[in-house]
Amino acid sequence: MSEFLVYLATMSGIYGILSLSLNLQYGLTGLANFGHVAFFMLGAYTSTILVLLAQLPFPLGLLGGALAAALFGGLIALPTANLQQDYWAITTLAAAEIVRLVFLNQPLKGPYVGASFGVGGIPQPWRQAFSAATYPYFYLALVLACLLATYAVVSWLARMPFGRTLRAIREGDAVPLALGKNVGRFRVKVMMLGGALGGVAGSLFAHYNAFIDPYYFLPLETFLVWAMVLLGGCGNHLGALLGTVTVLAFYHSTRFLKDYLPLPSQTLASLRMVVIGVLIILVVLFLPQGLLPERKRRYGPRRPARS
Amino acid sequence: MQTWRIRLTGILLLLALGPTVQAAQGEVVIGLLTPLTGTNAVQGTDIQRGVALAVERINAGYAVPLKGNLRLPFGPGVLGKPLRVLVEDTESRPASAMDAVRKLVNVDKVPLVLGEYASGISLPTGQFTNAQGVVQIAIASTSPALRDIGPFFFDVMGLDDVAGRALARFAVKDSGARRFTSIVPNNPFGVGIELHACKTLEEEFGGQCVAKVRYELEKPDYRAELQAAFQGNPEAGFYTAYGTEARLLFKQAYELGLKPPKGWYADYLTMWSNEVAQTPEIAEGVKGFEVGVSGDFYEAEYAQAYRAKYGEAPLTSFGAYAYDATWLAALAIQLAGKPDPQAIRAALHVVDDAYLGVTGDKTFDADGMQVTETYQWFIYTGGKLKPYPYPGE
Repeated sequence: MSEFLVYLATMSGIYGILSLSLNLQYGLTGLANFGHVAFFMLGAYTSTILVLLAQLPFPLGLLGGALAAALFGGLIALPTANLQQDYWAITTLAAAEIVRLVFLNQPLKGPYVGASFGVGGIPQPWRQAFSAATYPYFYLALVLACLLATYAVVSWLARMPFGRTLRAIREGDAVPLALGKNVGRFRVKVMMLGGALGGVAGSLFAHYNAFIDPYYFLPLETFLVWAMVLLGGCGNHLGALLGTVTVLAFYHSTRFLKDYLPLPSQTLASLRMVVIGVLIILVVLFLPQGLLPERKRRYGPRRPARS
Repeated sequence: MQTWRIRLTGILLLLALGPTVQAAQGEVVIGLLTPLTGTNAVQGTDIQRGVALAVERINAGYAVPLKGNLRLPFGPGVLGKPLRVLVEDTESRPASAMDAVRKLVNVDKVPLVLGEYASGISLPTGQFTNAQGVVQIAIASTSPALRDIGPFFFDVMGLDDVAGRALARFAVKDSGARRFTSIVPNNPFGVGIELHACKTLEEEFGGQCVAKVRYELEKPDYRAELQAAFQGNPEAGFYTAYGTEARLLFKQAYELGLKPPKGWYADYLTMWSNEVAQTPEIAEGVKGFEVGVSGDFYEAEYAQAYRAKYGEAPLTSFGAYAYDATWLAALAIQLAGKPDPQAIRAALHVVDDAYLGVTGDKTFDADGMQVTETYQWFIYTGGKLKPYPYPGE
């Protein structure tokens, strides 16, 4: 059981980094990024190519993954930086599918590596230094260290003038424009930053799972991360993390619950999907601000709440 | 044929003297990974039913058929304990399948995992179980990439290199065509078929795949793919599709009036024969193979019991493979004498020579893959699959 909990904790850490980076883009800046999985995928594939095929050490793979995802973030943001939210959703969703289709159709080495066959046998960093029993704990520590660093970076950014400008952009272009801020450039920057963090998560995932193929990176994964951020509370970093843990816990506990219910396995499998859907709807209905709503700083005297 | 007789004697002895006599406590628990929801839900359900049927027989005690017209009294149970299969839904999604396989291996500590159905899922889960030293028996995954997973990975269905070759030979002999189009799902299974069918066509018959189309699953429209498949004037076509996509592909090809002059040649016809049954005219005249699921033995040993238990004919051919995989697992655990992966792995290479599968010979080669596969040839006509004589026989 402890191994499975360590696995869950590791996956929560990886998804946590993803949620934080989406929170930076959507929660703070209001960019409806529906292609978040593209960063995750680029990080995973770039790191795999660098470490497995080009024989570079893992830290370079991680860095390369982050860089590739950041460049891609900048690339899709450049032409769309001045578009409104709904157009962001469309362009990012399409861009993510383009990335996936490229990897789905591009063999990396011989006919059976890359393309639809995926890439297996991805090296696990510093594997030799640990026994089979202790390695998962080491990897968990590595992931948590990255998560902590990500958390530190995003909360530092949020407190900076940079973060305040992002929040202003979220509420509409008029105010930041009036203050002489180049709104488009801020959007490009935040897409690159969020992209790099997503790339780190992708690299960590690829080396942990030791296998990736394009079917891991369907648009559904993006919406899973969205569910985490929305549930946790948009704009609140701790909320995003809490949302991640909650969604994954819901998802996995239903898998265990079914072992104790005397129903046919096929009915249970479908019921499990229904329960997850209903839980998400309940959250949206009754906790529209998420579990931990964003704390907004108030300036000037408080007005009495309108009822 | 002598070697298996010798081994058979050994098995009979071992099983007779084996730990069956001990009245043991607890259960023997193994895992099953199967898609009960998502794209492959129908096939996954059939697989789960095939496993359930085998488990029911194992736990009630059953005379299991062996090669050479023998039957071995087996059970009740395995190692004197009831066999229990923990069913995990993979949602037809690799990420979810990884969660499921980790639960089975790390939490439930099963020595053996049955499944999955899709090659794209058997591949990563197989790499995981193999690294953990847990036996996995894939049920209907046929990508040639599965061969290299490792010593703990087995497969009860012949891989695509065998299937692609068989399909190309049949298609050329039946149609006389040399210019083929190929349309396959863009996943390890489909691409494996395309690579081997086209290679056989080129190398053995001097033919050519004039168009190779790999389509995405779950798309709402395939007209562009179909148009592309008919570039270069193909005479006939290789066709691979799962149920949902097959229904749409056939329907849109029918509407567009696209049909190769010498017809479609398809693999694993029961992947879609149920799904197109409501509008059978769209797939009229498609010829191809189905894997070892017909004949009197299959009917008496599997199909009748299936109908009695579930009130309908087997949904696909894959449930029978799951049934065979379950029996092989049970026999191997019994022969190993303990639910230990290393011992089960070795035992699988022994029991496969003796067990007579409802889907034919189940012998594993050194890589755990099937040595042969039995293909039966059919034509889809009037909404039904009818046996079709192999050309020249």
